[in-house]
Amino acid sequence: MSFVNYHTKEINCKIVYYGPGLGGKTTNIQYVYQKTASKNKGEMITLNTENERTLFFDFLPLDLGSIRGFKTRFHLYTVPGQVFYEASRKLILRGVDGVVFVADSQVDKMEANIESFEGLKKNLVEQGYDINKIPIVMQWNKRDLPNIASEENLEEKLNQNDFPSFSASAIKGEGVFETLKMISKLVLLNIKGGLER
Amino acid sequence: MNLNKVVKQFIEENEYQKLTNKIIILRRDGICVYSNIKSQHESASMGALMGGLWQAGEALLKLTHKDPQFLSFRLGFDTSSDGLYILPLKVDDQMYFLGGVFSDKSNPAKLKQQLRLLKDNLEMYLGEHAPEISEEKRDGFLFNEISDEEMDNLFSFGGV
Repeated sequence: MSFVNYHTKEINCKIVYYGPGLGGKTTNIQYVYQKTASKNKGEMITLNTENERTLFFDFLPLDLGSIRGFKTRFHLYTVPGQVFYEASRKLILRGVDGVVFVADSQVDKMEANIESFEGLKKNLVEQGYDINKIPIVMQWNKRDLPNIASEENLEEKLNQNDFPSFSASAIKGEGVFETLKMISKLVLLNIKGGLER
Repeated sequence: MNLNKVVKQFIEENEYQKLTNKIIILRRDGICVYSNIKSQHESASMGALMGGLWQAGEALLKLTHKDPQFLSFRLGFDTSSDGLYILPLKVDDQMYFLGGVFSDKSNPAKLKQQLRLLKDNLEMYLGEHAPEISEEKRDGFLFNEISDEEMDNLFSFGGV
């Protein structure tokens, strides 16, 4: 849950990158890490298996600039994508403020995307979230590969809620910051606690 | 006064920050409330990892125990000189964590006992000062609208 400190004028938010295994969640935050100046970021923490698949989570603390005098600090997490890490995914979603769903655009990954998105909806509901109220952004990743589903097809199968969506090639950095910018804006707009008491 | 300020005041008045070079107090979601570490980024990373460790421990025990009372648990990962130690804190019916990381300690058991004492004293102090701790509850949303220009400014550090 976002935390606003009115005394120090700081906002802390948690964004989780969710999606099927090998879909590019870690690549997204690695790109953000590479392109961010040292003073704006902490070390990227990765808890991996021996073959570099995310075991528990990746974590990147990111200081964006200030907005109306409030310093904004975003904590980016990824979940492990493999089906058998369900317990870890549930833990990481606790207290989430916004979700980026990273879908793999390859045609043969559609089923894995659908299964993962259904899992996300179920896990959010289990933790008391209303899927229509929590900020979610869809990212159609791997648009640079051959044999990919059309964006219309991805929208139809995965985005019946009409969440904002972006095409991306995270490995090339395309669409990474556009996605992050959108989820950040939605999360900031969703923070409860007006300036007037 | 808000919680962060009260905790900082209590710890520093009693010089608990000198117990070890890395002491952190965090919310259940890993967000840091107090830290004696200079780097805010390092505090954020430690908060996320300590929160994750505790939550993983809880999830694991829920598989084998019926209704475990986690407030009386402790989580240690250490040798006879180095390691970390996490304790839960109850503040206003919410669970927080107190974590200490230590290295080259000749008597880690003593440090752990001091951290437990800090936990007890801090819980008592926060209980006594509960009326002064203002959890600022405000209506509405913090921002009703954010312009594209404001978002561009936020992201001016790199990328788009």
